[in-house]
Amino acid sequence: MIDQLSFPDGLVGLPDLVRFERSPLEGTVFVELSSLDDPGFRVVAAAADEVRPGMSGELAGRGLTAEGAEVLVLLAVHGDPPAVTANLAGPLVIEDGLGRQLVLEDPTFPLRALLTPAE
Amino acid sequence: MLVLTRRAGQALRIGGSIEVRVVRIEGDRVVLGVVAPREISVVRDELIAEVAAETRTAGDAAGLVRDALRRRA
Repeated sequence: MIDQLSFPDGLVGLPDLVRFERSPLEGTVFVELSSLDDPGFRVVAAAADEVRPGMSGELAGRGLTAEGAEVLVLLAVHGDPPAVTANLAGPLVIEDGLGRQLVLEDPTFPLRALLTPAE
Repeated sequence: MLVLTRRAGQALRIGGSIEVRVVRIEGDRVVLGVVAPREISVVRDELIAEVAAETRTAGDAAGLVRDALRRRA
C-alpha cells in the first residue's frame, strides 16, 4: 500500500521536506519514504520494533509519543565491510497521520545500530 | 542573547517549569543538570547536527540499503 505522510516541521536538518510518499520495499518488511518536495531524496526505513524490540513502547512510556504511535528508524550503510545501520537516535514518529522526527539524548539509542552485514 | 554568570551549585529558571543547574565545573567543561517537563526535548546541539547528518546519509545511501536488504530477504 502506498500512502502519503506529512511532516509539518520537516526532518531534522531538512526542514523543507514535509511531504513524503511511503511505499513497501517489495519482498521485505521495510518501507521507502520518497520526498514529494525533493524528488531526489528518499530513504529506507524499518519499524523501530523490528530493530530494537519494544522501542515504540519505551518511547511511549517516557511520554515522548502517544500510545500506539508508529515509530520508524532510518537505515543507512556504514563501515568496511559495509553494513546496514539503523538510526535509533533520530526516529520518525507518526501519530494521527502526522510525522515528526525526534532526537533522543540517550546513548542506548545509537545513531548507527547494526542491522545486518551488507554483501 | 541573554548572558548570565553562575557558579557551581547555582541555577537558573526558564519559565515556570524548567531549571538548569550548574552541577560542577571541570576545567573547560561545565556539567549541567536540567529539570524539565517530559514533553520538553533537551538535547545537545551537536547531537542535533549528528542526527541531521545521519538523515542526509540515509538519503544518500537509499540505493545501497535497498540492494542490501533485498539480498538479505
